Amino acid sequence: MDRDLEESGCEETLKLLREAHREAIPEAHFAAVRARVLSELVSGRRPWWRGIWAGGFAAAAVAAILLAAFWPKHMLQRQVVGQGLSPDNRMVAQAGHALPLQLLPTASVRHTIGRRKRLPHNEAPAPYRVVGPPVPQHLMVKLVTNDPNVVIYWITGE
Amino acid sequence: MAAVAAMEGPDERRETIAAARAGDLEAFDLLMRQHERLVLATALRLTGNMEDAQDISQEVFLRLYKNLGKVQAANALPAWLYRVTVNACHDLRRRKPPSEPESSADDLVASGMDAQTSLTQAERRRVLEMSLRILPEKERAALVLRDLEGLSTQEVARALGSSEATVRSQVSKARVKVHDFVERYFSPRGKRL
Repeated sequence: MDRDLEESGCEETLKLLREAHREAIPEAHFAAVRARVLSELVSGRRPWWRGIWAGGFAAAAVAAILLAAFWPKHMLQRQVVGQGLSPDNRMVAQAGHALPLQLLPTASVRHTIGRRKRLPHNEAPAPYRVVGPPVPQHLMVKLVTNDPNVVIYWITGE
Repeated sequence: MAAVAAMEGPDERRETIAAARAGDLEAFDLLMRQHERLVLATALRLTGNMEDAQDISQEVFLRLYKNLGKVQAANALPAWLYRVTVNACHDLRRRKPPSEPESSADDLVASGMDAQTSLTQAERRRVLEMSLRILPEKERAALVLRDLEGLSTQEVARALGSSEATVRSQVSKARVKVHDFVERYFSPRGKRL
């Protein structure tokens, strides 16, 4: 290395640069780096028990979502369908409910000019067909927690 | 740092690394104190400013904490730190190019100091910073590690991930450029090195 330096004539230059490089760096810069590193490490190490409440809350939220998703809907609909009807119609509505209501045969609507064609009796729409289960209204509540990874959705029926 | 390092022998260093690996933050703090000058000074020469050098140092020590298991021997730690520091500086340069265009040697010389001014610490520092700034990134890294940090050609080659022949060539070119710059810096004022 020394021979190379002598050949290139850089010895004095490098001596100057080395002297500058060896100048002490103020201790405050080192302390700042150490503090930043340690604070990063400490914040990354959370005690195990601090995560429990968040985990429990998340599990409860998942359970609630699953419950809402798989709740037997036909039970709700049966209760709703018969309300407000006379006993005869209620029986019809319940009998009709043996089939899915969406599959009940509906009368086709034809728009014609002039005299309306009378439908045969067997194709006439029954008055009780207008009665159907109301569309279930869902209420969704979004709960935001301190942990950005945990967001809780609470979905309820009517 | 030198004082801290001198107080510890190889056995103590091995124990410090083992304790830090086990999660002892005090041991890791000691480990940082032993090597902080190596990392910060190298980063400072490679990046050219203290703010970036501190960011680099923080990143290097966090990587060290995560990879303590991979550092087998205490003797291998400085080489590992040099390599990671150089790579981190390289990554930073790619992410965040220098904010101001690198000046040519002539521009820098023109803004030099008065002829009568003696070589104070501040002036020496300024010459060092300016002369490193004119070098391409790889030549700068080779010069800093070889001539300022005093590593062998083999160690520099390992840190930079290149061959010894390449390092010799880079160092040689860098020395000539720096020498030329320093001569021009002082020559208009009649001061020669």
